[in-house]
Amino acid sequence: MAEIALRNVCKQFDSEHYGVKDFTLDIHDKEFVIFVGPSGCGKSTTLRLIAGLEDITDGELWIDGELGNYLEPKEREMSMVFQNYALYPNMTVYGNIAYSLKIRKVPKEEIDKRVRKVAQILEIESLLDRKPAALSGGQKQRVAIGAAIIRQPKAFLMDEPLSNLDAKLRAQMRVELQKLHKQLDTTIIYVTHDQTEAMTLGTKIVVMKDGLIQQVDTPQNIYNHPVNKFVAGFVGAPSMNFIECEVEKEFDKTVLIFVTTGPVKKIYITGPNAAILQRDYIGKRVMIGIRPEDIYEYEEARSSGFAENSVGIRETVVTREMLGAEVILYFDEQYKTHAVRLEPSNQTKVGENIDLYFDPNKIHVFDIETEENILHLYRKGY
Amino acid sequence: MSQLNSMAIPIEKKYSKSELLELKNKMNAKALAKRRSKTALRLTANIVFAILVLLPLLYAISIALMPSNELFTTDLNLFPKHPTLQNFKEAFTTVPLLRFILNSFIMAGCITIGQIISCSLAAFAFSFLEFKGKGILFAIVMATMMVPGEATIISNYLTVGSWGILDTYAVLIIPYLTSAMGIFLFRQFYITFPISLYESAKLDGCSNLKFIIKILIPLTKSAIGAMAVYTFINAWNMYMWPLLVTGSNNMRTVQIGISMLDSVDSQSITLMIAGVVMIIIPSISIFIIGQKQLIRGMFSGAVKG
Amino acid sequence: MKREKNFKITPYFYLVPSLLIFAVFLFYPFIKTVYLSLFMTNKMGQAKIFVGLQNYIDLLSSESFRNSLKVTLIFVVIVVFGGMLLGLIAAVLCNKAFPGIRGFSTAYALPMAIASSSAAMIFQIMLHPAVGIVNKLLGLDINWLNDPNTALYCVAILTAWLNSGINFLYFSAGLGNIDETIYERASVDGASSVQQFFSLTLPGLSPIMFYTVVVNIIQAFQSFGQIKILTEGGPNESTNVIVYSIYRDAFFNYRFGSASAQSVILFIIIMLVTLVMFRIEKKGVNY
Repeated sequence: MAEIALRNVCKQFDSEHYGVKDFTLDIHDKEFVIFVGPSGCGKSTTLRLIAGLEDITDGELWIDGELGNYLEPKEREMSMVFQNYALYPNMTVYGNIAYSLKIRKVPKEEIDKRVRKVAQILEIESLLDRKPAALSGGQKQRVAIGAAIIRQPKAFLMDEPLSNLDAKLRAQMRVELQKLHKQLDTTIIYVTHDQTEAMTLGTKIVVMKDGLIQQVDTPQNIYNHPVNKFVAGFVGAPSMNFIECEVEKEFDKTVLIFVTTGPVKKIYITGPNAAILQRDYIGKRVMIGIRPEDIYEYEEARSSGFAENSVGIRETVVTREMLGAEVILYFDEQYKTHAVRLEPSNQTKVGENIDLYFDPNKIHVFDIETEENILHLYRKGY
Repeated sequence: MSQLNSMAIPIEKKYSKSELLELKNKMNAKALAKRRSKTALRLTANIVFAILVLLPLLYAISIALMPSNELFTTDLNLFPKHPTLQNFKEAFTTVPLLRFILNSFIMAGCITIGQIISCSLAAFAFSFLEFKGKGILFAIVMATMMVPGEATIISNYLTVGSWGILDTYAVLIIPYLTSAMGIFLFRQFYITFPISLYESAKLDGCSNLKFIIKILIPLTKSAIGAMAVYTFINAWNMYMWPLLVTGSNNMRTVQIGISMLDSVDSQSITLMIAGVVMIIIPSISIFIIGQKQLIRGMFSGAVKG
Repeated sequence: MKREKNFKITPYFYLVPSLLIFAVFLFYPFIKTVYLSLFMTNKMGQAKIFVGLQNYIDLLSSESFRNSLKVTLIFVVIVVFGGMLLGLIAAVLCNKAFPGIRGFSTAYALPMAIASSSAAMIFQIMLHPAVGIVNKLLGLDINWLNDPNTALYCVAILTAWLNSGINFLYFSAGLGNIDETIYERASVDGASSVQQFFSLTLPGLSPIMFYTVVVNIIQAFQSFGQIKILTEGGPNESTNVIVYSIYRDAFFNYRFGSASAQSVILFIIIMLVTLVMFRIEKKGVNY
């Protein structure tokens, strides 16, 4: 049982440099919380603040209702998996896993029992007598996890534990970590820069940038309702397409017109979103965002029921990626490359034109200046 | 922001704002005190240990500044009551200390330059060139590190004696113009460069010597620096060989010459120590100046290598 | 074709300076020492009468030489142990950043820049029975260097001090090579700093420790200047280590044959120690 709360936590490295600013978050028991963001965003620093490896400059850290700012790492009863695994090179795998129990003077038989059980869970029984130097990356990773799970800590802290593995192993370990979370039934706080890991593993995702929390939410909500352009662009692959548009009124319709020379490219917006845009943004520029899977060809658009209301946007395909279950086409717009995810039956070749229909209900609109999600803000009632 | 946070119940204990502030201040002070005391402890331990380690040197400086009558008391005389530079002056006049220092500089300087040249040449061949017997030759060179100087010093003495070059600079310098350790050190650095570096230089029409001077030497400044400091200090401090092969004041090095101060007059302890302090100064100065180079070139590399 | 040929001769050109010096002042004298050790020599050091292994037999049966061996052994043990302990303590004290660390590091490394002869002269005064600081500080009246019970320890401690500087640098480099994150993991795991020192730091130093032991042993065996200046092998041969014994036999007694034989024995001892250490390393610190 562990309830961890961070209240306005700051980490200041020197007078100018902040690692983390004003970080407020509740972590409930048994959650799988992911800190995700580009490198240097303060996610690892936050984890180290929770572990007690760095001092909190300002704010409070509460662990099970007690102020934890000044507790020594060992008093916090957490266990941690490091990015480079941090295995003790002079000890065998067995010694590495057993270490935290040994220094707690747990009886030998008890240690042995638990080491063997952990080894069994992680399928590393045959490696127990080896030294870390004789292990592969994946094996080291398992040992590091084993050393962490042998205790029953208040929370597991994992600092990019999969980043040193190759892609295939990473995918495999992702599945195993999910299983492990169920098995252990404990809080896990997990740091990664990989949005796929974040989306697949987390029950709660904390997206960070420049030391600040951008958004805290479930993976689904982060994906569907990003609060700003950064979050929108950070999750999802290929990432969201951003196009600068002008908001206009055409009779009673709200229309987004691409800021571009040549033929006019426009999207009609209806419903509540149109109302929001009409209120404050007529005649102004905005940044729209649309995910590659929310752009369709005419046939699909018609069956989804929005084609009648829209005009197809004609683009030239510059790259085509056939992925089997889908095909991804790329086109250039406003000097950037954008992606469309279509049915594999689509036969458009590179250099050919295609008419694209943007699902108006899936369009995100961001303020040019603040980069905040306008529609999201209004829905929340600001 | 989201339904997750909106259903959040406060996890922390309920404190009023002022209570919380007070608690934080208290813990802050405690943590600060703890950290301060840790630093203070480390600093104290270091000061005590450093004094212990430096005691002989500090004591020597203190004695050197003492008038000789002050030394002979039964009181604890850690510091000179009437500091004087008289001992230093006298040390220069009693024995030809300047000449000894000059001799040592010539010897140590020549040895240092000679070793850097011969060792970098040999290391270049061992790292970049292919030739018959390379492996065996390198093994032999490395094996020489195992032979203690004492196992050869008698024969060497007899050899140079038979050449009739005793009591010259040459005899002090020539036997030390190369070292296995130097070759090893330079090679350790050279082999970290890709062989393509050498090959492309060759294609550009660079001769071997030009390659060493124009490319290798600038790239291995830290190794050369380390080597220079180490070799110079060791040469400056050499004792047994100069003791055997020099006989006249004209050729004596400082380490041998200084012991002459010892035998001049049993009352002249302060004089002798003043001499010792003066001959330690050059080696210590060079060490302090070159310390960074030495550590970077010799120790961090050697451990990883 | 020409280029090919060139390629084969030139490499040796770069080796000539070093190999020439090695040949004249190392290989040749080494062989000559072995050769001389089988002869009776005259005062000029010329081999006169072939005696086979007689020099060795005489040595090994002589009380004086056996004493030399014993003294050398004690001396080496103290020097290696003391020098490494001093270096290790200093390195651990300077392991974490604190104000003034650079000055302290320089202080700890400084003994490596000091000549054995200079250091010996300073110690001579420190240990002086009447005016020396040691007696004054400890309130004792011991003639350290003239007492067979203490002289060897004094010389050994001096040598340990001299060697502590370079040991400090070795250990500092070794400590720097230990991955910082294993300490972080250990502190999260709940290990105290004492536990961390014994379970992580010391084992983490073992590769460099091995190397340092070998270097220290070889160095200790070769200590000469401090003994020549402080005790001249005395009192009562209590500091007559092998190297000093070689010096005395060769340059005072002009018994070059016997001195050569001692040199060979010294070489064999050092080689054996080195080989044994390598054997131990292969078994001990394999990671």
